[in-house]
Amino acid sequence: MSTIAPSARRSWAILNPNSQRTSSLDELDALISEFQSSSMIEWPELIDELRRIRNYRDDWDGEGTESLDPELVDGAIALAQDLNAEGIPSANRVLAGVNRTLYFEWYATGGYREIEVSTLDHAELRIVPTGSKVADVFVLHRRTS
Amino acid sequence: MKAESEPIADDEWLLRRVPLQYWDSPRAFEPRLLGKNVRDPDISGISFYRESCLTHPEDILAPVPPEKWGNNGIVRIPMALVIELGLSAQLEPDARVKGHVVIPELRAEIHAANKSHLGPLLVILAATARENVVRRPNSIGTVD
Repeated sequence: MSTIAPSARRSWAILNPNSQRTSSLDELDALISEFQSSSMIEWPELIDELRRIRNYRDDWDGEGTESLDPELVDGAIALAQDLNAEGIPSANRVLAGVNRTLYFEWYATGGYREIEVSTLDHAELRIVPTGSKVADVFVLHRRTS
Repeated sequence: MKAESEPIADDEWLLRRVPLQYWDSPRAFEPRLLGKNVRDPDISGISFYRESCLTHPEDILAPVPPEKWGNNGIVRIPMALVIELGLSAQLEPDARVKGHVVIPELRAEIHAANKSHLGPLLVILAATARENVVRRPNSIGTVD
């Protein structure tokens, strides 16, 4: 597992869990562009969707799921803004999961990628080539102070 | 039609209900943790229903209030794939619908601790589901 952390300009960065050193989000470009996903949705639309998700109330899905922590959603919005600023291809979709976390999902013929934002300052990028039973995992960290 | 007490055969198909918001996403197979108001947490594993035990696939919508049926799709997964992925299915009778089984390897607490290992399996299940749609949520399309 690699870790990605905050750059000087962005709030989010790649964190290396072994060294605890961070590197810029622009290193994600190659990882996310690798499968040449062609999202029809732009980052501003995804950010609008996140703002809508931020207003979810308990039982928003009809299955009893609790609303999301607004700070977590704000963290995801900051991440989307950073990814957009770095020129990372937009995700195909952003959605709230069943366990009060948020997912950005990229679909392409070569593989699937997702970023799960699980707290306001922690996220993971998982890359799954088509048919693979193994994911490459990168940790993202947000500087909050 | 099989009795739900019969062992699960490798050539059976398993049905899963997928709410609209998780349609066509690996989230459709993500185990749900126990929450204060969560109605059906996946404590023992995510739920499927054996198609061979049902009169009609839409029988699995029975636990859902009728006014919400349109928000749910149904996909089918071959038991052979479940086995190929190193998973299993256990009988867990449910008075509401016949043929209820759970996949114990995909229960909430295990998934939460092993997302990097189990995540790819959810991706494969989602890709298989995409090719085996029984019923789409109404707001996406009509019943196949």
